[in-house]
Amino acid sequence: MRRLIAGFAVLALGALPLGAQSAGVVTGVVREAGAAGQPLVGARVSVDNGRFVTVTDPRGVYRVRELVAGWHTIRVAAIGYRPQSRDSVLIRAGQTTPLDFALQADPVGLEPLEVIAERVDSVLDPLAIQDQQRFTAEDIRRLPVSTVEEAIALSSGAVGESYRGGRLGQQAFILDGMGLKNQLDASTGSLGVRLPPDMLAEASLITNGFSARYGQAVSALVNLATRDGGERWSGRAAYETDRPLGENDDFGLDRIVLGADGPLPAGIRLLAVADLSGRLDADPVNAPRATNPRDPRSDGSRMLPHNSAEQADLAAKLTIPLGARQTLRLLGLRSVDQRLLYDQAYKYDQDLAPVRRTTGYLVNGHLQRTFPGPDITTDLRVGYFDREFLRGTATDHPDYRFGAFTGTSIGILGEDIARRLDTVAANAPLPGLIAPTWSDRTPWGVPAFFLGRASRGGLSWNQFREWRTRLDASIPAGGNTDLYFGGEYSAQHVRTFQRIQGYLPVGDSVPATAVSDFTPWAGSLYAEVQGRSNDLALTVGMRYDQFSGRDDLPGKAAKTQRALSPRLAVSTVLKGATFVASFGKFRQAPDYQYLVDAAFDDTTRTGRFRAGNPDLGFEESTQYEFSLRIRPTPLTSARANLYVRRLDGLVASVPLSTNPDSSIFGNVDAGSVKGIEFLVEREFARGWGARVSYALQEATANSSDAFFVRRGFEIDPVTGDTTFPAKVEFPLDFDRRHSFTAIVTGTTSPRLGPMLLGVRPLAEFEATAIFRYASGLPFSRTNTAGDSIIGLPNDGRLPSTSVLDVLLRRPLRFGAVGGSIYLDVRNILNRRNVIAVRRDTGKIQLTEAKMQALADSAYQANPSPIPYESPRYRGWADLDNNGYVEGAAELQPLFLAAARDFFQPIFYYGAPRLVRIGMEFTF
Amino acid sequence: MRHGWVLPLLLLGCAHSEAFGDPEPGSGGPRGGGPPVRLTYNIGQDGTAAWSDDGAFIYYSAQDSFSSDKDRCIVRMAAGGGSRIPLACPEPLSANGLTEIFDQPAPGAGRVAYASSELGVDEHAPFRHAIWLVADQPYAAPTLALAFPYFTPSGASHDAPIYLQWLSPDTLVFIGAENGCCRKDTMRFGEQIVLLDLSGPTPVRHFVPGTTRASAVQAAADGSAIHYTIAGDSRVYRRVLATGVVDTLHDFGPGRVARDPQLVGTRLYAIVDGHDGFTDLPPFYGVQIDYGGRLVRVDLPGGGETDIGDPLHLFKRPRVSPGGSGLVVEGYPMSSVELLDSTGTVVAVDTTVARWADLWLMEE
Repeated sequence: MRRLIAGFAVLALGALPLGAQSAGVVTGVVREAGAAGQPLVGARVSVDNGRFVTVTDPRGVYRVRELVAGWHTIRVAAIGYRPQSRDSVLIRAGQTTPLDFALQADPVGLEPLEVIAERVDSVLDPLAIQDQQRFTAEDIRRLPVSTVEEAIALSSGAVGESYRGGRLGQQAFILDGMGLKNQLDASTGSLGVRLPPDMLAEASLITNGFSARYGQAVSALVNLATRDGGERWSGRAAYETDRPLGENDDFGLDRIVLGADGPLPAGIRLLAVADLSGRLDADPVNAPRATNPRDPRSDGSRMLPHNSAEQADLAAKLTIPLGARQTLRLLGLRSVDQRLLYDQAYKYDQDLAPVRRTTGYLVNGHLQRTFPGPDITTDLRVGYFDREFLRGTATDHPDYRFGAFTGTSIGILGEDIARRLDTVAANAPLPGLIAPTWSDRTPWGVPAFFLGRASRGGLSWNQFREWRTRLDASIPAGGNTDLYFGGEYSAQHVRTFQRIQGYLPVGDSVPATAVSDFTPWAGSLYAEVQGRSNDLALTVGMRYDQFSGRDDLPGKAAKTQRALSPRLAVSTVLKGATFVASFGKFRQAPDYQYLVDAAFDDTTRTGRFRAGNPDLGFEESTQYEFSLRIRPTPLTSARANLYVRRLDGLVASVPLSTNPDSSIFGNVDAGSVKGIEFLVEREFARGWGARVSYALQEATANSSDAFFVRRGFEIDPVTGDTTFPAKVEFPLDFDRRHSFTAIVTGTTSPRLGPMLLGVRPLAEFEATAIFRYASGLPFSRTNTAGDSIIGLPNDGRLPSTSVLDVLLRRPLRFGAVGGSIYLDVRNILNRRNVIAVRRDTGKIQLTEAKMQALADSAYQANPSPIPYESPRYRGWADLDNNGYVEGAAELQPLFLAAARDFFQPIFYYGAPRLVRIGMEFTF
Repeated sequence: MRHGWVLPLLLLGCAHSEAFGDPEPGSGGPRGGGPPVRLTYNIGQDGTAAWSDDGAFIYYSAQDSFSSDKDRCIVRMAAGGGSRIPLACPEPLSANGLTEIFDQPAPGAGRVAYASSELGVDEHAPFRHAIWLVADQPYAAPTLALAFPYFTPSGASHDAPIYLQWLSPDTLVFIGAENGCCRKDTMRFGEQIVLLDLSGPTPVRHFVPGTTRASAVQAAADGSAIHYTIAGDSRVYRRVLATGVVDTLHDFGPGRVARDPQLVGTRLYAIVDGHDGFTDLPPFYGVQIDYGGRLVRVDLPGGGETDIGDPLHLFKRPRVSPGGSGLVVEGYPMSSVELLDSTGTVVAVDTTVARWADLWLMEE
């Protein structure tokens, strides 16, 4: 806390004003109406009833910065002229909205002229240098998506949560101008909080050229801007489900959304949303049914057991005006994600498979103040973020109260030991855990492949907490130039606990419990100038980052890492097209999980332990990009981006000897990404709109994740010589060469179709379709044991995938209450996309010979007869009915059937068709 | 859509069952008719059976044929036969070259007492004995009740418990037994009957006088008495614990060795004759190594004997159900080998008894 106060004091003394990615700018010229309209000097421009006020300069130009993304009202008045108001001006985050006024002379003082629904064009704005793909709240509502993440994944360059070929966790989130990141394990874990879509004004993905104001990312920023509460009370209640759809489409989904916003006394506005969802099969699979009639998956049922999930996201925001020039915004967000994880080995002993729970708290405060005269805008933000992760064996069967909702936290064995970081208790066998054995509850009975009696005994817990404070200021520097300054400080607390095989004491083959407890911190400063002269715009920025990791190691002071990252962009408008050339260096601190030891089960035999490296430095990327933007028609825009990224300092595992368990994390990986993107968009008008994107990309590196052993050097076991293999790069796990996305949305005419019982069923029908095609991701072939790669890493390719999603919505009216019913269908064609193959065969299935060999091996390991009274006895397998299942003739078919059951390629396919029916009510 | 609000209410009534349901374990019922009903077919040792208080279940020790060390577990089976359920097993991952034995289950009042020991691969006499208590549910964590060895007031060494059972809700009764010499000897023989009081914070042992060289013991249903036999003796004794008065329930006659008594009402079951292995020769004074005998029923007082076994088996450790309608016993199959001379004439018949037993349900 002392460092937090000290850091804040430094920033305050620096008095550097800062800017916000969640805000935009409006600028324009105020003239006299008429062909020879003169610029009006000193005209008063007021935004949102005087919350922001400025006057035009000698050229008649005005500029208002740091407007929160969303709808605003702008009023212009000048003596002797009739005032004008523009209602519903949409300000977009990170963009400059040009808006001119032409005032009529008004010698007798007429009423102000209201002009509504002004459409603005920001596509060609040369000051919008970043690659930004945005989705407004209305966009998200029309799309067959349920979360902000699903909407962002529709962006060009996105492969799940990998952006432009980067690894997972190389992005950062900006929530209302405040950075947000799970700095502990973003590459392997979730953020921990989810913003309900009903809170959004807009969400966007920024893949390059993002301002020096933001860091903690080398691949992309996900920018989220929440809306303020309205000036009149309104709300929405919605319920979605797939229950009535029959066995093949019923995955036990229930989702409830409740939201309301409106004014409170003293001009305060409130926005609150609760978004609750549960699904009994949270990760449904589209695998073919089993062929053996004794396999429970042979009847076509597609739900996997022990795969339920429940999520709760609660958010509230207060907008508090503090006088004419200050606004305080407080945002609170709490998320819980609790799910049962399906483990094929526990198919018949489901309660023993692991449970996972992630909880997150976020509180952000934002105070914005404008200083007229010098026209300075300052933003002070303070935030607290707390994320906890827990995974282990449940203490009891979940008590489902409604669908997949339990409404309570499922207890996990040993969680109190984990939270206390009690290594003494943890190094002994954990209470309540015993060793697993072969399951005796399978249809086959034989002791092979499937586990029972007890869980695998793993227990993982971690907590990441962060206090963050940020100060931004923006200053006009004359003409069309703005200066931005700022800084940020984060005080963090990391605690981790990892234990495997908790039913055994630590020692021999069981690694010691890995724990950590340390308080890192991070800080940054930036300066950026953005200016425009005629049709040329220049943005130059510099960012300084610093972080300090582990301070808990005896005899070793925490090492502080520092870095400077320049950003440069030049843009110009030529013949109606905007060209942008940008260069930027981006850096992020590595996941803190790599600063501490890691214990894990590694099936590729690259070890079960990694030593943490407290001296890890920044991961970085250098990106060059050329962009072209045009507007062929008033409703259509097109963009082409050509980019080259060089990745460096990525974390990988470095062996210190021939034993993989001696590996340590190091900044030893490098890679490169090259690509070109095309995006064409027709804005929604006259009943339809569309967005089409295509990306061609190549992403290569030495290794795709930090746990992959990267041999920076090798020691010859015979001679002892040290050799350095060539620095060869291979396709990254997220190297998708081709991706195509088409989104088409439309609304039918209000007078379409016949009238039935006073209603036109086909009128005002909203429909949206999303088609996605993607070429296959790479994979590595291995030998049968899985400990050696055949050929080069990632030289195999999965098949391509395609999917079609559809949303149909029909607005309704229930007296004074509005609403709609909707049908949301993902993968409507139920296409069985292959998303993985077996590394040893390169195919989905094991060969028949391999299956037989696995069965024979299991039989040889346990050839004992199964007596009548054994729970393994299966009467139908006792062919001679002598009270024993014995001998090769009776036992071997059972082992073969068990092998076929266990090695079903359940998870090698993407999701099946997912349908949900929804109803919503709005007031 | 005026009544669209009804739809969610209708949906609330929909229920989901688990996708894979509960698999059907094992056989689910007895195999074949009876009595007698063969309860176990395990190729390993099944023995030391006991009944639950309500007579609904049989608890016994079963050898795990899938354990590389041939460990033995405490299991439970429905009284009429069917699938067994494991309750307590040695840790399966301790493939340490030792056979770990859990046996002599004594169920009562929601918990089960049992004995544990270990047997080396090249050894014959188990060692490291103890008595444990565990909740009557699968894989509950046990607590140690009594560790062995200890010395009696008379200076004898008790190395292991045999015939473990409940006398009352807080008191166990067993015979403290001596192991033979050096862990390579096959002999383990009873020394004295012991009452183990578990009512206090520390278990307290009471040594029953006059029970030296006891070969078997049964607790009376009401806990007021014990029924026992002495090695090499043909009589079944009864001792009233409160008074110490000892009388003879039945004498099977001179030259016969009685053991494993079970008294239910006026019916007395016992094992007599067979391969009692008794010897009184030094240095094995009073040792009785039992390989099984005939299972007989006697209607007291003074009634005749009825052999309720069969000629193909020798029997040990009969246990009568609390209601008296069922009797479970260890059955050791016998096989005979004819020894022939050079002319093919049978000159002798060699009868061998199987080393491993199965459990039989003899009466209902």
